[in-house]
Amino acid sequence: MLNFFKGKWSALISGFSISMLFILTLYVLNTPVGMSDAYLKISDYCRDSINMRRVAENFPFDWQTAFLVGIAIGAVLASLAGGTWRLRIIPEDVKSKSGTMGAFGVSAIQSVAGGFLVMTGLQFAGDSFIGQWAAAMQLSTGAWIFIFSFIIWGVVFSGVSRASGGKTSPQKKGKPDK
Amino acid sequence: MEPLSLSGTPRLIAGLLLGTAFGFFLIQSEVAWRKTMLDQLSMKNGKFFKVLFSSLAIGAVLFYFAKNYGIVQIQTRPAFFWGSVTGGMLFAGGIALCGQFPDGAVASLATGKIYSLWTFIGMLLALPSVHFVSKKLSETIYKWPAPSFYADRMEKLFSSAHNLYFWVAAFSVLMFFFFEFIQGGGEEDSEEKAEKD
Repeated sequence: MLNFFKGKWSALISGFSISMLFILTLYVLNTPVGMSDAYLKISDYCRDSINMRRVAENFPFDWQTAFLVGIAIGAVLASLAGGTWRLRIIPEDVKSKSGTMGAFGVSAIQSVAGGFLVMTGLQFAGDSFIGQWAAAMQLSTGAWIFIFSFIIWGVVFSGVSRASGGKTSPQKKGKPDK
Repeated sequence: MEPLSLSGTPRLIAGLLLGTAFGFFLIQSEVAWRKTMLDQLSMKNGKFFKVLFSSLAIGAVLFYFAKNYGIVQIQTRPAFFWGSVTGGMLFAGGIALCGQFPDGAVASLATGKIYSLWTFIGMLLALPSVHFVSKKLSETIYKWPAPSFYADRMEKLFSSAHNLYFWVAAFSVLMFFFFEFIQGGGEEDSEEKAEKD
């Protein structure tokens, strides 16, 4: 039984667990599952803190931000149980000819730009990714269009990235660092 | 039966507990890892889409019965056709670069992957930027006419199909097997594989 919580899960077990969790969330909270409002509140909170040049009081703690804090707690528990907790500053697949600092810079730029596009896309679509996921279960047409748009364009962009020499996977490494 | 619809402190605690379970599932299923997502898009490992479609298959059937027994109600945000299309495209472009979705980035950051902080910063920067251009968006993609067959609910879109939840579940099962046969995946831990490579 303990091994079940330590080992990685198959796609079916993972899918079953996530679908049960979404149904439970709908039953307990009776609200759309998405977290987009939580990110908006955190962004506003950070903006206020930057404007005031000190940490703003009254962190917006509601069920959505609590859910995000919960995600962090659950992830720590799972990674400690499974032995996958590792401190990493640079993603394992990012290599640069300029060495560690170059890889750090490349990964930082890629991640900020990627994160920016990810959130912009979600704002356009009107909900966070798990909101779209839960809405697709409830047969929202917009969520299914979003998912198919993501799958098609994701494969296209990934192919373009590889064709243009982008390193998105360890199997396609450049020269090893000197 | 009716949904619990908790409020106040119990709602907050429920959010925390549900989030904890979700964070646990994200790590156990490996969908929070950057490598799982990038390998999925480069068609090397089908784990992410298999998790997605298996959950949609099971979830659609579960939701159908739960809705019929009054346990849950339909709770979705309004969606616009062109907003979903362009949103999915931008989201895909971002994922191809950083390999993480917002909740996955939170989970990844909590497991020591400091580089996820950059992704999170990018996401937080996007929010005021989108807010800044929101008026322009309201006048463009949210107003562009959707195709004539479009309806916000799939029941309206396929009104002739009997019990659409089961059809959607069957389609999701097909997609699951499609990714299973063309990509497989999940045999080796993504993190371990990356370490070996």
